[in-house]
Amino acid sequence: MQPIINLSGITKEYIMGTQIVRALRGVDIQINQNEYVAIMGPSGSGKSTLMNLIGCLDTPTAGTYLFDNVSVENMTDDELAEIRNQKIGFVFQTFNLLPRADALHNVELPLIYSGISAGDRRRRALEALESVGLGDRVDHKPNELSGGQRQRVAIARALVNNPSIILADEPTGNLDTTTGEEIMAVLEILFQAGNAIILVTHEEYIAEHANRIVRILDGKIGSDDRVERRRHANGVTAAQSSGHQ
Amino acid sequence: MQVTRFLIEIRESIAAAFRALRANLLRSILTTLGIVVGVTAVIAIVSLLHGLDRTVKREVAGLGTNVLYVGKYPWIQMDDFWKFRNRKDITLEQGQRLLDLVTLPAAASLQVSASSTVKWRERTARSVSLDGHTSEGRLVHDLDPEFGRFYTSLEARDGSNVIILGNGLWRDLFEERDPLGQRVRVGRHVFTVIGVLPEQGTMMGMDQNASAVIPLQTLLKLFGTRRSMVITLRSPDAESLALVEDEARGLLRRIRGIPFGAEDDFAINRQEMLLDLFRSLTAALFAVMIGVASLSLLVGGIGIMNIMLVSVTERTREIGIRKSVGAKRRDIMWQFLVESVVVSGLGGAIGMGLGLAIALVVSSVTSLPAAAPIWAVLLGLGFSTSVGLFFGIYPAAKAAGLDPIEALRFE
Repeated sequence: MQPIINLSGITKEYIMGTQIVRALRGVDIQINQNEYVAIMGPSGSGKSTLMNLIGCLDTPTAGTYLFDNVSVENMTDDELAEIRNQKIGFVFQTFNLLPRADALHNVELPLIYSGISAGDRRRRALEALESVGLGDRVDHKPNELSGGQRQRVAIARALVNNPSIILADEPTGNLDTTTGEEIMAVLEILFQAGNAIILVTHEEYIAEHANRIVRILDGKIGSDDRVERRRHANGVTAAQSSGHQ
Repeated sequence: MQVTRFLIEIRESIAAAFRALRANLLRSILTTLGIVVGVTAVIAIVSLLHGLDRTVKREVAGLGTNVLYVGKYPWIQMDDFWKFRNRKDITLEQGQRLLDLVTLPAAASLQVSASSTVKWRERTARSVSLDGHTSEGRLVHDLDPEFGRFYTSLEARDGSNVIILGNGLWRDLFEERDPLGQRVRVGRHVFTVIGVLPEQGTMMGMDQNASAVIPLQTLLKLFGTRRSMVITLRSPDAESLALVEDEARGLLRRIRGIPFGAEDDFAINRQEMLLDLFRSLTAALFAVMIGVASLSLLVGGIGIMNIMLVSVTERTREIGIRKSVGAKRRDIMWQFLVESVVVSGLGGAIGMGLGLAIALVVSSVTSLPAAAPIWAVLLGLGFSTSVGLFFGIYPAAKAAGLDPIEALRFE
């Protein structure tokens, strides 16, 4: 099986003033379609840089990156935008929804940039919102939704364009434990449905939802382990938990 | 596919622009104030000038395109009035000699005006302008009556008491009853009505409908002979107007005995001179207007650029979000360009409304007419949107060039 993400010899350097910061110093990692990977590491470890590279928000200084067998390390900004649009769904710690647009419009956003017609857009966005249990909140603006609901809108947005992977950067970081657990349950459902998920976190118990944990230390991979006993989001399904917050 | 994608993105851009506008309504209106002022000025002034232009053209058209008016006074007096006042009158004899000698005009006549009251039964019209024409006046000035007839050359020669009423004068005195053959009193004299002129416009501020036409001889006989004649010459076509003028000038100089090299002691007037004067006046007004408008559009444009830069900074995160879900440079560029065009176009629309309102108010309060030509409306909209487009480019390019990672991290 071809890995969906294949990084080899990736380095990334920044120039900060007169200093060269070496954020990544040779990273090799393969992630397959059926994997649920947690990336962990202390701040300053290069974890965020790695995530930005995997998410095609940035290009490496050196090394090769095959995404779905396509070399992306030398792509232009617009080509990367196309990849992000078609193949990657982002879930952020701070939700990153458009504040003035309602839930439906927020979920439609990736489809707009794929040039999908209004009718199809609406239908697919509604489906995505239903699947995260927010079918009854489509016309609410972000400030009319709770933190958990906002994150679910963000998840709906991430999966609406049927991406190859979902990239979740500290998705529970701004939520309380119970709500965080509900979000993990939604991600679990997506994983069960066949989506590859990459989760960036610094919380051990969140990382244990994944079936593989990659630890980054000083710009290199410190360890890359299978999880022996996966923690399952405690059986609360998205549909059941939609009503209360 | 590319086209539909583009259309979908433009629709999104417009929707996003209106969301942003609504969110900052007051700020948007203040931003576009410069544009509003500029477009208001353009539309108001253009409407008034255009209305004025049409009126002047219509009034002047009454003088006849190919007609020369040879008289003592020039219509446009740049010099001392007394210089003209002291000129010798053009006498009836001089006028008639000129008419006998000219060969080029299609028609030529003499005319003099007086003012008098006209009465019919108990109804009176005061200060009626009486125009005395020779019988050829009908051809020179197109004085064919709407009904009735013009006076014959015999009546003209003998100075008969016949009168042709202007349309308005007829309505006032006869209330649209048949006036033909009726006797009216003009001053102390009794005249027979033989015709009524068709409805006419005003000419140089005088209502032609309120005047009346009588034979020249009659006017001189009853209202005094000591008047300076106006000789009117109709050229067969526009091309020979200059020739007609040259011939008349040469002949009249000889008749009035002006030595070689001395200045004319008469003036040859034509419609064109008034139009030229009006054109030079309006050209000056237009220049002032263009100055005011371009200055306020420039200020307005800078205001828009400024507020768009603020908007880009405020919405850095939004730009990051859009880029992270797949917006390309072009998409972001369009979004902010459209927003800037919508803001300035809105200003243009408001300015257009205000400008038209001002023009209408001015024209209803004063006697100035107003008419907004379609090109002015298009110009106003075109200018305001181009200002938005031009001054929106820099902020939009700045937004489009943002790094998605930096933008997402922006607080």
